[in-house]
Amino acid sequence: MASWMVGIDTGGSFTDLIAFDPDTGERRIAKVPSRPDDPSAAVMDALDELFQSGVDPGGIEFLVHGTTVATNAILEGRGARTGLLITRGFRAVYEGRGWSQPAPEDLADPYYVKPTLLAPQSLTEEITERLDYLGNVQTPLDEDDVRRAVASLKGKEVEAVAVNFLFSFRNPEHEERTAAIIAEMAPEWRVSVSSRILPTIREYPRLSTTVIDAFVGRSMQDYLLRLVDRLRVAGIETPQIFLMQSNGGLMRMNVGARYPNQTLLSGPAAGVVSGIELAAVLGRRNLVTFDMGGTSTDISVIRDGRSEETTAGRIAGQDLATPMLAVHTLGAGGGTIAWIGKDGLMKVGPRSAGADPGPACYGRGGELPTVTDANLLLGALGDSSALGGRLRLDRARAEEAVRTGLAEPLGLDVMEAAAGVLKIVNNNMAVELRLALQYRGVDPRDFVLVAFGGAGPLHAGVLAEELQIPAVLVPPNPGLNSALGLLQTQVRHLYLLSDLGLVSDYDPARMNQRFEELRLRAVEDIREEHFELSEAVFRRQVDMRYLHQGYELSVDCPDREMVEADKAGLKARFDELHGTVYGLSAKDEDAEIVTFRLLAEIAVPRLTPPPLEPGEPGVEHAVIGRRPLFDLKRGEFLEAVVLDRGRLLAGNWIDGPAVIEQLDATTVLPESQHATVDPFGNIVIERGENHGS
Amino acid sequence: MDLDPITSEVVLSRLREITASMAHALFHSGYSPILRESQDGTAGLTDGNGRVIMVGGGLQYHSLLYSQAVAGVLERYPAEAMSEGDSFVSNDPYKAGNSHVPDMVVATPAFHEGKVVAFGVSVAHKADVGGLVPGSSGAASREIFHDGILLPPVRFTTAQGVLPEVEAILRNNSRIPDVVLGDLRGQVGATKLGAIRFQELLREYGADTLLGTIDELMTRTTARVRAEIASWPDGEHEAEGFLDHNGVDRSKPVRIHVRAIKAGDRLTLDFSGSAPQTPGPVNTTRVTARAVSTQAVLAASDPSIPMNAGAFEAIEFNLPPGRVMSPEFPATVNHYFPTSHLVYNCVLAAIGKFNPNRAVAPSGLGTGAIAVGYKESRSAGRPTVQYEIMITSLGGTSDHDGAAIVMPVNHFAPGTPVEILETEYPVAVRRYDIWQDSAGAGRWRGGTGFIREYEFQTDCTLTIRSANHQQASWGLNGGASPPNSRTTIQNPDEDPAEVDMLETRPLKAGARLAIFRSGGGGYGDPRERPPELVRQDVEDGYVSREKAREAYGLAED
Repeated sequence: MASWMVGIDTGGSFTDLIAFDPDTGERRIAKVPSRPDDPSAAVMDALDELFQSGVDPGGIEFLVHGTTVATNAILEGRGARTGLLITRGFRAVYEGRGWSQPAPEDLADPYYVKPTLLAPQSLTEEITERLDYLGNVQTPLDEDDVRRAVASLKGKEVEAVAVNFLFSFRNPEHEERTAAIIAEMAPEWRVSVSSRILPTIREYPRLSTTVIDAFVGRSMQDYLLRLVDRLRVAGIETPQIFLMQSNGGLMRMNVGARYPNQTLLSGPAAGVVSGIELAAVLGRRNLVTFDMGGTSTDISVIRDGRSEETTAGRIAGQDLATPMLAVHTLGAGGGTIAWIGKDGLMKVGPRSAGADPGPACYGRGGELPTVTDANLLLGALGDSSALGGRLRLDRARAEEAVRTGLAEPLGLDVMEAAAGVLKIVNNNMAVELRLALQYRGVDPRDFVLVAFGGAGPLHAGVLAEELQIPAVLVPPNPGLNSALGLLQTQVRHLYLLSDLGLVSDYDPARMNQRFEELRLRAVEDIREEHFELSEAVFRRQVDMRYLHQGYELSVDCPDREMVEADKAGLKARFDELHGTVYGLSAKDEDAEIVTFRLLAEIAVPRLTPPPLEPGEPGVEHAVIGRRPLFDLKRGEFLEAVVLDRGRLLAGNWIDGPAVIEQLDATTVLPESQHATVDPFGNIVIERGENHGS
Repeated sequence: MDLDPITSEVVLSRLREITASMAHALFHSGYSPILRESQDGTAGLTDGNGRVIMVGGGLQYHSLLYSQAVAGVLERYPAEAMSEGDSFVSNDPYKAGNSHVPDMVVATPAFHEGKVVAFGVSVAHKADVGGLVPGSSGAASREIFHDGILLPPVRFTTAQGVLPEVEAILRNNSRIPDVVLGDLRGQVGATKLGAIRFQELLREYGADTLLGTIDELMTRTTARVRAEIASWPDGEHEAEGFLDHNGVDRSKPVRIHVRAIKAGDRLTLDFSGSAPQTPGPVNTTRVTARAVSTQAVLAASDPSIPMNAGAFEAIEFNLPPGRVMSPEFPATVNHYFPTSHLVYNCVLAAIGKFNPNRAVAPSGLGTGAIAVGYKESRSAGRPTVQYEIMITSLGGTSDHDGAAIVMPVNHFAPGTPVEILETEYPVAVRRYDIWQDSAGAGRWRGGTGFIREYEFQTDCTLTIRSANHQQASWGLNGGASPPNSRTTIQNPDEDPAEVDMLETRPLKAGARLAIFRSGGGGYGDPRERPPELVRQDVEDGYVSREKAREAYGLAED
């Protein structure tokens, strides 16, 4: 009996599936259109393709899913009708949204609009209660007030409610009692309690995160119920069914509705995970993942084998402080539109033609020139490059769009204009990548660029040269990297609790007690997910800062009871980390402990891609044609070989100019570069002298 | 020069990269919370003559300040006398263009073939540079010498490093020298980084292409501003507003007046009708006034036009010496922001009359800051100052309500969380609420204002540096004014009492401070606001039933 591992990633345009049988090394892939109205139907469409290829549903042992259901609920504003209970007198916390951090284009525009409140003031109820900064009760919870508020919200047909009281992270009693009253009076509501969702200091990010949980929770719950049902009907019996999280780890699907926020931005996180795995397999410590899709590019920096974490997430203007892998996104994808700015210069993005109507060359009614149109005109893409030829690309339409939209108004010829589109979009991405590296104080020459997404491998070679990154890796299925990443991680839960105090004064017993509280929460989840406690590996950290700083850094704690003598080491590690990250430290200043963190990880089956069959350097066996490819440096067309990725063998050597085509992506190799195929089937592009010919 | 529309876009993007790197370096190597948390500073590039190329950071109005900073440096040190490794520093607003004495400017030249071709420049607020009070900006200040040390533009570093004499002078003139020098080093680092990156870009593109492109980008910016101006009908429009008083005589409002004269593609902003400079600290420098005025012209026409030298060169000014926005040395300018804010609002109003489809009602007045000095912080037990910027809300526009609780001019000001305040300082925040009926009514109303109320748990010293407790903002096209911003203090066992906009006083434990910050002005006749929106406002608590009836004419359901 086969034991298939299946990853299914729902994206904006496509739902991708990748399946492996670790025993035989067999691999299947599927790419089906996403169905935003009923996303689980697209999941089943992808599985149907898998079943039709002969895989038995009962043979699926392990399944991981990356979903955008919660993300879409926010993007489309189609979440639950959400009520909010707050401490009396603090309506401006949400209204003010931490004051204002607008996008650059809004900085000086009096027409600036703040993001919509997901729980409007009309559905916000003030409750008489107050805790002080230590969590002591200043004003007891007025339970009648809670009952009045719930009755009022019931009259307003609320479907979900968020509760966020000041200093609830120090003492959850008022929030818990409030939740209990709500459960009595309105058992049909989903209740999101800030001291459970994000018990950390700073009321606005905690509130915003809690409201998002309430807003998207119902959609997530409904979706998962339907999906689980459909999977069962389809004959998938394994209990090993997981969801991807934005922290790069998994959770068992049965707890998914408990942590819907964890699925927001999980798609990019899965991509990062596959980058980390690639780094591990190849023994590379420093990678930049460059994931260019239809509408945007995601960039992440993996340093010393690890990705950074952020709590400054934002989706459609809504602030999300749930810890997640740090991914920079910019508006540069295949469908990104080129246009002429008011300054008379050619601009590319951030607006995109998306999948519908899409680039002009798709022939679906798009008339504006896009990056894909430029790639087609310049030979990087062939007429049948998209989706393994299932979509014919129309050169005439691409040319017409570039001519009327760019070339004629700017007085350029069509090829010049098309080359301009690529130069500008490449530069935009190079700037973003360089900044991502500069902000971390690292040297691009120590990094490898990993090209993901349908469009990443088209641009990665040129980009690496511009950035002086010495090598580019194109994995076997760059367009399915998020689906692949689903199969390369483990169950991961992160528990946070703020309890502030100076390190020098901090009682180790209090630290141990906080960690124990976190451990109990972890144990509850682990049981709920039907794991054995012994399977879990715990890691303990504290977030620290110098006094008055507005941000913290996470420092590792010993994996045992803390004693007084451990504090000096903690402080020293913090000073050192601060020096590494910000270039200076203040060893003589006391530091403050802000938040305790407990990371619980449980290993689950994990895919190691099988090696590729070895071959000789020559690639004649893989040549499927030749076509003119525009060289951006020389400014002229050169004759390039076109290769079929599926026929490449380990050890093959490819000289530029060349184009390598496959179902999910096209790789471009300029004249100045060559590539080899490594034992895992990755194409490794490097700058260099010709060799093979 | 004939611009290549592709190379130029690439160059533009590379310049943006350099200024973003500079700002990042500034905010991350700086030492103080002012720089790190409030990001009260910028870093960017000018050309060799000090013409602003681009500014990194949220406070875009700093851009014109850079020109004066470089001019001030060049006056003492001709470009030929500069060498690689040099950085120059100053904090004299009359020489270096900084808005007030606590702001320091740093300029670092970039060279090409031995000639100065550009400067990396930074302007950033310092926690204390001496003067009458901690923080340096005292309400009692009557001349600029009261505000602290006045360092003229002087060399601060050479290729050998920091000049120890200058550092010693600075160190000797601050209550917290380590923090100030730490931040200053951050500024030097950011400007050096900018200069180095600019030199690399020069090598990559060649001086002719890079400098030619920059020139042409500025020329095009001027042309864009002029094209906007040319699209308006010729004529003159005026606008005026008032500050409560001059900082000394509380009975005398201070008039801010602008007459905008437009003919063809020329625009002149004439401030000669404004009040004379004041003995108290409410003046703002002419450079700052020009900068925020230019920002207002762009806001009322096309805010996507970049704030480079080309934008400033498109607008003419009549700023006779000795006005409140063009004071003469040694007038103090320490409380410049509310005045600059009002200048901005007036220009926005005047230009809106030329260009009605971009017109907006003004933001609420009452910006500034409070500072509370405590003998002991909660955590470290040391003397400490709680410093909080005060913001308001934006006015209604032609197609939506004003944004609520936003820093006017540049919508950028990170706020301090209640939970952080209470944890660090002996204070309890009793209220942080939306202020009902605080927005000017209109077809599109202003953004709602807010109330923040503090109860001090130990004795402390409170300084309020705000504005416009007596003179409100206004509405547009039939929209209504918002109420005045207000501040009250309530001593234990007493009733709350209204206090002035500029005030320093000791308070006893148990005293309460309430800050009411006004919403924005209303746009259009409130009676034309669709009743369903008014009803929603009532349900949301932004508008009371009485106001809905009286101002909006909403019939009782």
